[in-house]
Amino acid sequence: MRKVLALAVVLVAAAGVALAIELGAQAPATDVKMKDVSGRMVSIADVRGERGTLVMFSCNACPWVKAWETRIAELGNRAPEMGIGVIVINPNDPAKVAEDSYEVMQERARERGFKFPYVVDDTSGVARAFGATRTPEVFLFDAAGKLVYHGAIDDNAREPEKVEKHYLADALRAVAAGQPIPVAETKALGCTIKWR
Amino acid sequence: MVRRVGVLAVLVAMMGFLGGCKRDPMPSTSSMSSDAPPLLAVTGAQLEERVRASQSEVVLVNIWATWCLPCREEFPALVRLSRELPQERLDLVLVSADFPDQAEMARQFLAEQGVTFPSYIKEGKDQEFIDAVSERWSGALPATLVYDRSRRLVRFWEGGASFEEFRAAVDMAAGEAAGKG
Repeated sequence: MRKVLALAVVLVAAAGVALAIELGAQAPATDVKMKDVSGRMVSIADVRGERGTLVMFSCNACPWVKAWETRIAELGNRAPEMGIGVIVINPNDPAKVAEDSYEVMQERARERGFKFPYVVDDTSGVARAFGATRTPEVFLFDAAGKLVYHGAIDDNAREPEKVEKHYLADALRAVAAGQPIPVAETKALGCTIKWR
Repeated sequence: MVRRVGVLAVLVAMMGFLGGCKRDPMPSTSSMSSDAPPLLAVTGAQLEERVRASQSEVVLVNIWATWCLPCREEFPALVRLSRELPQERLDLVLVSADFPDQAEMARQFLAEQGVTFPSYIKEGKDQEFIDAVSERWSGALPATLVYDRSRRLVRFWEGGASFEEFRAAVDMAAGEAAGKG
């Protein structure tokens, strides 16, 4: 019986694995206000763009995030010029990884020149609602609010000069132009979300 | 000893099929810790073959990285599992997802954890590797996959687990295999 219970714990812990919102779905939890690095309270609805909305789950500590961070800043800063709103959400519990604290978020946003809201999901509830599992993980919605791209930033975190597939950049361009997304779902390695 | 002989047999088998690897999976002797276990580069397709070719009742694949906190936290439980169960019962396949230039760090971690048998380090692009391992895997680490005797994936989860949880998953995979004759 103990084994069954232990396995049940594993399965419950894994329950988020296959539950990410599907292509075509509307963004959940859009009205949840989250604290930005500037101290403002911002929701996904607040940043919604005329042509689309980019929601990215990220953090400070994950080496995969660090590898992509310059590109996160570039793409996130460029998207609003294309009519696409941007919000980057840290769902991690800093009690588990100190580097994921609000103060480090502020430093990181300053160092990297983030011009978009970098916010704290202080219950991890927004990440749960999306069915996000890792950082970084991208959800891109079109002008009608439908999910049109889910996955990775590109196909090479560590070596930007060797990127062959610019998944998110291509998706942003397509959304801005009202065109179909060339590759709508991709995967990459990342850090599990440190759930609160 | 049984375990040691078993893993050596697996190593010999692996050397054969990894012969086609694009790059030498072994580090240069100058950078290799003397007590570090072998770390072999593996693509997703090679990992699939490694699982299929195993002679053990249950195969547990754990994909981890040195920088991944929950991976490091659960590692002692995996090592304990491999010590407590004979090779005939469990084949523990550890796959590091560290970047190639972090291989030495991965080897040192394995040595510190008391791993003496050969393990693996991911080679190739993330998407190809993830797709080959399982469509259920989002790419988050750690990831654990448990295969029964017929090499059906019977348990899969992302995130850390305890010794009891790993043990229960292995026992259940073995029980399911027995139930199916």
